[in-house]
Amino acid sequence: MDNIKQIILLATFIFLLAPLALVVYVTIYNKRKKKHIEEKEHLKSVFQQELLKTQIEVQEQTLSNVGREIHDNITQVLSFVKLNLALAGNLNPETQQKKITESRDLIARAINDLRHLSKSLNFEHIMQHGLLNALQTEADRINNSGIIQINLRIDGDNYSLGAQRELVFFRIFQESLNNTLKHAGASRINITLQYSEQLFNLTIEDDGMGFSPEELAGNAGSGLKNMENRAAMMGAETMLYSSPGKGCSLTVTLNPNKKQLYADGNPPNSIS
Amino acid sequence: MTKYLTIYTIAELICFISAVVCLFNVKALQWRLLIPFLLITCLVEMGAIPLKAVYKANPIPSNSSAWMYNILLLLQMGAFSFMFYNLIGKYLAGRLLIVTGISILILIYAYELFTNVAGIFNYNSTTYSAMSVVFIIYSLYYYYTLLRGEEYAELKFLPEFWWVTGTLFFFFGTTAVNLFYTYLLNSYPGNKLYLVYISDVLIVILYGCWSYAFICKRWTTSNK
Repeated sequence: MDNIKQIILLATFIFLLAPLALVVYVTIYNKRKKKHIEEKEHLKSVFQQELLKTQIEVQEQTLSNVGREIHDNITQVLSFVKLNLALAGNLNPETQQKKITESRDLIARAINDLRHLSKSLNFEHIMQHGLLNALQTEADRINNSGIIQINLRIDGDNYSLGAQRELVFFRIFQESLNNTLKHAGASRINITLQYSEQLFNLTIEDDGMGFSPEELAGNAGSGLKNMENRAAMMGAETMLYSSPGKGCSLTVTLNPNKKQLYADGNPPNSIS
Repeated sequence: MTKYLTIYTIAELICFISAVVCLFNVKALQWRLLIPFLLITCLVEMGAIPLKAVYKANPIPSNSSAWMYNILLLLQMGAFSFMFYNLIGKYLAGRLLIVTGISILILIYAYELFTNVAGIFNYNSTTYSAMSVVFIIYSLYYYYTLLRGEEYAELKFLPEFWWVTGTLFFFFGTTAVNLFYTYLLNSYPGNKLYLVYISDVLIVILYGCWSYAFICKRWTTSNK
């Protein structure tokens, strides 16, 4: 009899213990959820800060390019036109006409260059028209300047990666281009964009002097580290191949379907 | 007067007073409805006390208090289901659960009412056992939605959580009591004492959690 009583009391106790265990589990899980949400918020905030920094850097780089372009190209052209017109007063009508026509052509070229520059200056224009368009504009600008030859190749049907991610890709391209122009002594840059359902690749290759990636340290490697970190924040991976005398190749790979919780397709200025 | 003050009635009265104080100005109907529900529960519980004495003196079905509890059973089914509908009814599966659950309970209730020898004067114990299982399922589903939801809620101050927790504890415990009730009484009538103790503990847990839930509801409502 006592045994039965004990068994029944034990069973009742277990019946009370079961919901207690459940409540404890729900509470623990809820605390973990809180921690997870806080971490997500923190990452989101870091990403937004990084994005803002990227946006500012893109604008600074663009302004710097435009300034250089105005100084090296447009100012030169306009000075030449000014000289032409100053000299034209003492010439015979036939040569005068020739000089005027030549000056008109040069001014038309300067206007055209300024139009291109105004497009570069308009940051919204860059991001509204997408990464491909922005890269194409930039490649045309560099090719026109004659500093280096850029070949842009597109594999697959292009699609949007979302404004935030495209901005980061564009900044990576700018940084990489800058490095090539400053240090590589290259004559050619190949840019390849590969679009497939599962993968997007941006490859930037140059035929410059190359370097040994292991030897990059301190400030020399910080730009590269920056690119890697930013790529990682949007769920992409960077691969760098280079060796002395054999140029350099940087590939950034992203699975467009892998959605980072904080890096969505929102425009970069939607920071709230 | 003191005969009306049992652990059951004291716990119910405290909970009723908490409900009146905390829920009177709450806009949500499912919470305000708990005030009349608890009032009726208190009245039934107190009204049953003199009837028990009458039944003890002359144990014929028409003297029992079972009819009061049978009516209360209907109110319990309604009030609990309405509250759960507001907690889990925003999901399709939740709505289906509620509709299925209430349909099953009404069918069992009607079946028992017509098949019981003394009709309404026999307590519908099968309905009560089924109701316990149904409300346990609702409570578990509520926890599931709580875990699955993306937003974080401070459980310490979440009135719905405490209301469900009290309900879950109570019905989990009473399921165990219901399972062994007949067996224990048949083996030795004195065992009823243990069941009374367990029931007392369960009722204190239920109304304790509910009272705290009402206080939380008051806090959260007045802080908004």
